[in-house]
Amino acid sequence: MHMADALLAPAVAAVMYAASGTAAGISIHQLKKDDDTRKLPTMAVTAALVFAGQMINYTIPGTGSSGHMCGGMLLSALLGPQAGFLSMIVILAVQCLFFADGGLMALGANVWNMAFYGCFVGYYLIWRPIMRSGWFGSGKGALRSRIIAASVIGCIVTLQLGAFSVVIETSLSGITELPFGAFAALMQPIHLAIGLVEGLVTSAVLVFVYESRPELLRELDAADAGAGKHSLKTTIAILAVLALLVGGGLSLLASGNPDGLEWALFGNAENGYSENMGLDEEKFGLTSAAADKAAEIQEATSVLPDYAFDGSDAPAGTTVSGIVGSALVAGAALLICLAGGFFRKRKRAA
Amino acid sequence: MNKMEHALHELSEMDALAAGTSPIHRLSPLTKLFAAVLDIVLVLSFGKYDLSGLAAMALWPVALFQISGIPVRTCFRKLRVVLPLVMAVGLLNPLFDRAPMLHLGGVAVSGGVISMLSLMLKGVLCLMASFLLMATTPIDSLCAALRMLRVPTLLVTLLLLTYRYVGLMTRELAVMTDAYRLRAPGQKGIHVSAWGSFLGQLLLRSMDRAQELYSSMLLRGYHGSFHYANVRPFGTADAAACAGTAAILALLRAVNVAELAGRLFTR
Amino acid sequence: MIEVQNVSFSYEPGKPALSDISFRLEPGQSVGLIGANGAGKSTLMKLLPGLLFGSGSIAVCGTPVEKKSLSEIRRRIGFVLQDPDNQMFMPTVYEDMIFAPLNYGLSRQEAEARVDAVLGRLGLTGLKHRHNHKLSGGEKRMAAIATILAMEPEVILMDEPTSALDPCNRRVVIRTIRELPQTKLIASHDLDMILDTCSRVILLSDGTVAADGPAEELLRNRTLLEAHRLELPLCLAGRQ
Repeated sequence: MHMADALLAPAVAAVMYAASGTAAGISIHQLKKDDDTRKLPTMAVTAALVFAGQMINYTIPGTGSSGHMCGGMLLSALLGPQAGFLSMIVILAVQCLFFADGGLMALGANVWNMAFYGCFVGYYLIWRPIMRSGWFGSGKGALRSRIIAASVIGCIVTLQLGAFSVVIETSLSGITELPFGAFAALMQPIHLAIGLVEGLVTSAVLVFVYESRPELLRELDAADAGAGKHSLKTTIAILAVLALLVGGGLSLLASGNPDGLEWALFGNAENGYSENMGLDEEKFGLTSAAADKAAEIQEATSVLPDYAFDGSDAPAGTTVSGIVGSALVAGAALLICLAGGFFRKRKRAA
Repeated sequence: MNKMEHALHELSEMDALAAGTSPIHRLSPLTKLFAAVLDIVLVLSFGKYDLSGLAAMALWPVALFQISGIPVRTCFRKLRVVLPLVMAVGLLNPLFDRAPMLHLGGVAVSGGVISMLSLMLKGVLCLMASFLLMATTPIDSLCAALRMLRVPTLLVTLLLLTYRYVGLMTRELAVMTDAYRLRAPGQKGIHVSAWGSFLGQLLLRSMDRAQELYSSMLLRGYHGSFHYANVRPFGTADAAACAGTAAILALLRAVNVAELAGRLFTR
Repeated sequence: MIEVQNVSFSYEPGKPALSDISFRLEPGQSVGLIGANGAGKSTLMKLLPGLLFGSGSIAVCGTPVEKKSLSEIRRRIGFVLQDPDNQMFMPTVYEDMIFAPLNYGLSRQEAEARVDAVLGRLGLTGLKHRHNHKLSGGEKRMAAIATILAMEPEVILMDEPTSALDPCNRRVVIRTIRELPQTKLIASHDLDMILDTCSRVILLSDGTVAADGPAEELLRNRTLLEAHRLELPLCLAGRQ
């Protein structure tokens, strides 16, 4: 789910940086206030572990495919939301800086999509209420079930939120022609499946930790203290609200395009757009009519208007001379490379 | 080689590149960070149909690659991470945006194809910028730059410490993965029965490691602050490099060099 | 230099890891701490600089080890951990070495001079600006020792300083240890190394001191060593 730089407009990237930066600032403030900076070594080692752990392939029983683990829920269950969030930021930064996974500009968005939801929403709205609730009765078995429930629900919900944010950010950036609703209809179900697997893997790890060193998990004491029915009600209420938000938003979008992606992909053809393609091509050369038409269709099919830079949208650069020029540029780039190689060789020889 | 060993290989490759001594390596990390961010922002600001304008933006990074002695090829290997994602989003563009924009020898090229190509090019250019930054700047210098930019010390220290242990953890998991495979022939991943314990075991050991690490810090007088090596200050060469890069990039952004060059031949 | 009196410690109630340990280290003495796995060597080592607290009393250079004297105690004790990766958390060897001196209030120049002096003495000047994660096993071990020496401690604790080293690097580490003038307490299973570097040996067994005496004498006592799940040092075993 790592966004690449290319998928974001600078303005969107900046907004996401501001949002993630604020969350990071608050987290740091909180950690300092609680004098939790001594957790620094644990945060670093755990972050490094999660970074490596994300590369493990987990075989999904009954299928040939494999799943991975998400860090957010695991880290916040182990370190608490603030420390977990900062650890996730660092993991994403290492991935972006050294592995080109995500981008420098997209880091803010990636932190928001993957770390913010996983750590804060996952912890405060899912992990803590469920661990404190009276679900599954009391005792060791009940706690284990609660860990599993919290991990699975947490991963699914936070991944849904993350995926939805990816859709919003990409659409706002005016990158894809894919209509908003269709994009969401494509992303959300995929991430439902991914979230389920991630949740199960995360719960397996957390249950293992619970059985060997329960003191490492957050909110277990509170759970042992046995919270009452009230918090169960709160949990359900919160989950219901969340489900409504996500589901409602989704269905609203989906209803705009009754059959989602299918409609989006083939509906245009039925609407007669393909006939346009059959018309005399010359009419659709490089005239503004074509561009207008493109814009019109885009307006019609996307829920959000096109946010791309209006001025540069005019296909001024898209001419034959532009193509020839691009080829020249490529040639020049190649020449620079060759020249660099030549000078290096001479330097080495000297 | 398993996935983790690949990652380790990539990490040490980046380390080796960053240890170079070219004029670019010698610049202040602040300069390089500025240049990379500016480059990416300008690349992203191009409209989705402005393919030729984008193409020209490749010239300056390519020149910098040559000056710094970083092989462009090592950068393009990372494209396998960037491109599939960008393609996944861009690939549908030709399906939706079918209005022809350009005719090349009787073949109509639709706007969707052009926006897809420009999206991919943006992906490549952004990668080149950040790769160049990381291939010429060791992580500790980059962190020094972040500290100068007043990024909270806690976060910067965490980044450094994490980077220090990323290689270690990855190596441990690589060994564990190999050990697992040797006893589970024909399995592609970790079987469901070991889902929790495989990473869990390492997690418990890591917690002990963190404890040791903290002891080591305490034993050497840690009171909550870290001291770093002094970094070379921002000098005249840096100011010149910043100004020069900004001017060249701004020029490439404002003037469509490719278009101009093309006109010489097409008219 | 170090005085340990009637020290006991347990991680879990009812299961003592150490019980009633007493010994004294004289200034300049080099003492080996030996014993089978789980005998309590590491626990004892952690008690000395106050990483753990037990019952009984421990004093370092006359100062009792208590919460309020920790800073004072730790300035005098250098602890070379078993895993150099845990010990060296900074990006480069240099930054790791100035970590402690700066924490103890030295100026940057003083710290820098110390680092250079230590590296020069150990013949490691080439390592100064190397990255910690790119050092070889032998280099890491020497660098870890260097980070401790940069603190100029009066007492040095070492946990398995020769584990996982090739013979050549092991020899280098042994030579270095022999040349250190400080009071040393070295915990190890490498009895040959202990014989080479220590004049006195303390044998721990099940959390108690089973024997305490001259190294030459103790390490030749096959019956004693085997009774505590140890063996004669190889160099002595070969001669018999």
